[in-house]
Amino acid sequence: MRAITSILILTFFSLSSQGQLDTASQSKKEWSPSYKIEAEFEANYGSTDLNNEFIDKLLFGGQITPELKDKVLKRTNNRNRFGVELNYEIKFTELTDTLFPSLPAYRYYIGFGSYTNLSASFTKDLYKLAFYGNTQFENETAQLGKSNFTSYKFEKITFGLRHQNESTSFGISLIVGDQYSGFNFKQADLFTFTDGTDLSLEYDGKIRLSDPERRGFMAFSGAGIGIDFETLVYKKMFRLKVTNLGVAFWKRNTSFSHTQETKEFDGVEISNVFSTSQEEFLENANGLLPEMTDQGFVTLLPTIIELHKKTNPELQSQPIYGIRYKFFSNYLPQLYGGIQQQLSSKFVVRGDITWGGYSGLRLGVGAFYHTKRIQAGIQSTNLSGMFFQNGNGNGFSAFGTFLF
Amino acid sequence: MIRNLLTCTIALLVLFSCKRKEDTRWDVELLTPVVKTRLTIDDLVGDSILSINPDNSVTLDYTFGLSPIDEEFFFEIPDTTITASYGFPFLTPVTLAPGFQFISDPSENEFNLNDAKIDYMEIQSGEIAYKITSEIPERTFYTYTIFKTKDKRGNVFTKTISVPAGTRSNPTTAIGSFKLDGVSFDLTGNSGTKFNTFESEVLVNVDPAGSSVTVSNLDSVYIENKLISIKPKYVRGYIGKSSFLDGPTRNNFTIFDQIKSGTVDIDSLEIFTEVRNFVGAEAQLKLNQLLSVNTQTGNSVALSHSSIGNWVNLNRGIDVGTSIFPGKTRIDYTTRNSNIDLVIENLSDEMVTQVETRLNPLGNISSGNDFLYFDQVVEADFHIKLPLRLVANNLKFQQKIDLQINEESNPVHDALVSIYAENGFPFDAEVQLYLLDEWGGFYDSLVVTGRIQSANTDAQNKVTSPVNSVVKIAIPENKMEFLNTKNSEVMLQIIFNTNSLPHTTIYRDYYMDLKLVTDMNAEINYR
Repeated sequence: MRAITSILILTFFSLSSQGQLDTASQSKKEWSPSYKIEAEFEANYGSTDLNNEFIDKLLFGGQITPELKDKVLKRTNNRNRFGVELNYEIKFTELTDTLFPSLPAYRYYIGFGSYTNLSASFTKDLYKLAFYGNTQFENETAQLGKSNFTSYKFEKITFGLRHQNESTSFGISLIVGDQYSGFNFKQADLFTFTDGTDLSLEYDGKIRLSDPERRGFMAFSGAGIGIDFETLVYKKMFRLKVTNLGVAFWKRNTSFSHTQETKEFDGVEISNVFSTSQEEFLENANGLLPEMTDQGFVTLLPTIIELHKKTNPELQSQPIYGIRYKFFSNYLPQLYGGIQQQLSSKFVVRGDITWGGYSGLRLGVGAFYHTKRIQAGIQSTNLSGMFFQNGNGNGFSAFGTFLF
Repeated sequence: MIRNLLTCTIALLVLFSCKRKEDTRWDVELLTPVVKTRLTIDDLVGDSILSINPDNSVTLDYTFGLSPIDEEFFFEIPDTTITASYGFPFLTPVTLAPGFQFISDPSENEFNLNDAKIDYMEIQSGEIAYKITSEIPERTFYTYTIFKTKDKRGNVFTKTISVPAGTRSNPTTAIGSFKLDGVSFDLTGNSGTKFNTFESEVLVNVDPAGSSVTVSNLDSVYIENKLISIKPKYVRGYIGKSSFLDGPTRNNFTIFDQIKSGTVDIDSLEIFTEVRNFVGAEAQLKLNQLLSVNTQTGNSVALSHSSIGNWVNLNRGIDVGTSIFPGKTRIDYTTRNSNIDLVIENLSDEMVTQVETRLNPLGNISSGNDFLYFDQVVEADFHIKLPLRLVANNLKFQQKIDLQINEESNPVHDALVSIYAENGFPFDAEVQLYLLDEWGGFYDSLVVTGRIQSANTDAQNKVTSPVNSVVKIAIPENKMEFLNTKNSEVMLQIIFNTNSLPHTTIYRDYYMDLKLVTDMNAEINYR
């Protein structure tokens, strides 16, 4: 980590000093910035079915009562989603220089970002099994398949170019994988025999786990490459943004299984009931789990694609709308629409209605401030979730830009 | 709203830093098999005491050793001290040159071994301790040699000690010891015709690298050698007469120690005591007492047999160089010559024994050709060969089982445990479980319904087909809490009954398949 920081600092100063040389000869004009620092933070969690009280207890602790389970059960359907995102990015842009003479309109930037994503899609039966148990499925099949759980955490170090009018940018990133856990159950039909004498599981699933010993910040459990891209499209009315298009390779102390089998379980076998031990029981019980190998694996990054209507700074009031999607993350396409209102030359507010992502329909509000040197904004992406226990998530984002 | 925004942010940050104030928890109802096992006679009875007959029937072959007979009673080497004081017979002072040997003193020493006459001995462990006091005003060297000995390398035992200079008024004392482990002694003395005797020699020289010294009749040296803690490994010769009494000793008798009550009618059994004499000398053994004690019922039955209280002669062992063939004697107990059936049917958990032994009761009849290896002397075992052909009537077994659970490890609030049994044994079994208090006493019982039914049998009580049955055990919340917090040990009690006559034979291929299924309310919990 220290080495990476050093490289970033060296890169920053070497590139900055080059920029100073290039701009020294320029004549004094109206003030224009030489550098830009941007920071973005985004945090949200949500579910199409789990309400905030439930999510709160699931994530932060507490007793999930039978009443709360029942309330959520009424909202579940055949495919339910739950997710948590925590992302932040910092970028430094040199505004006065280009590294590539053949691209005189492009400025370089370097950035650092961290992305954490925990997500699940699951069936109603899986919810019932997990939170009520299998007694209710006596002599029935619980259909747990088509469920997916993914937990992803990585950092990225980016070098990119951005058009001086900010219409287009392109960045390439080194991906530092911290942790990946993926459980993908294509089929998992669990039949509980009468009186619980046997359990039968028809299973077709894939499990991929990164190094359990290395999960922290900049852990390098995995490594990869990613691309960020941003441009204006369709008569420059829309801004298309692609973040983290890439792959990560996980090879260090990994666990992998891809199993298709029918498993009959009628108890953990022990050799002699009078002289058994906990170790024997656990060892034999572990033998029932899918066999894991140390095979490495490759994962596609949870790529985010966004298409937003470009706002016009000349208009006092204007509509806003767009779409966001995140691949490989149990994400629903997220659509939003609303209105933006200029309150003064420095203040803008906006309100919107959003559907998708990890939550259902919700309200969002935001406030933005900008001057010659500073741009900043905060936004609640799930206003209804902030006020109601029955809301299905919560979200917050903020950004700040400093020009100097 | 700002507050909520902050709350959301802080909450997410807290999530990812994994700092949670309390556990997430909820209750689930689980209906699942837990364990399964197959019980055979090998599981019920230890392999070490099980023997299989040609017809696949099973015999318990149980042995317990009577009190070990301490080899030291036969033969013991007492600590032996050899002292010598040397003066100079010169009225006028005499000068001794460097290297001059002024003492050379061979002597014969005898171990006090009572009536034993040993001509050869190998030492397992022991040492020779020395104390040398010198008034010679120069360094001197003392060389101590025991002739007709061999150390581990085949060399004669000899050691040299350096003693610093001393004076009449301030003599020097050197103290130390040498190990004799592994040294063999020829104890026939210088002539080769004696017993218990070894020859040694002391030589004293002035330091060859030192100065000349002047001594007179007023100067002396004093030497004390002591052979201490000599433990022989092997002796040869006549090892003497000795006798030994052991007991009464309470011996654990584990074959029936899990049986708490009930009766068993045993069809036949073979019981005997085998005595093996590895000593190269005639011996006699007398079993003064063999008492079967059932500490549960308080009943005791003393064995009545012609051998009780009478000497049994034991032939001497024969040493063939690589091994010893012991002199064996076997004492059989049958229902005709003893009350052994009563001794066994007492279902004892202790046997009290008293054994008396004599060595060379007739004296030196081997002309000094006895031998004794100290790691193998006289062994006596009590054997029971019990064919499992019996009639059991309310035979109650108890076994303490530690479930090894506590509040942390056991998330179950209450449970209904069902035991599904496919019984291929020709007996039925009634199961009961008891909770035990902190001191191991009975605290409460768990409600058990059903019993494991006997397999179907033919007229000879031989199994024709297994029978399925279910036993259900309810563990309500208060009793589960007791197991979690007070004592996780339970007492499993099983009462067995076979059909009445003819006697039921247990075959090795009999089995009982057990499957434990639980219907439980449990808490899922994580932090």
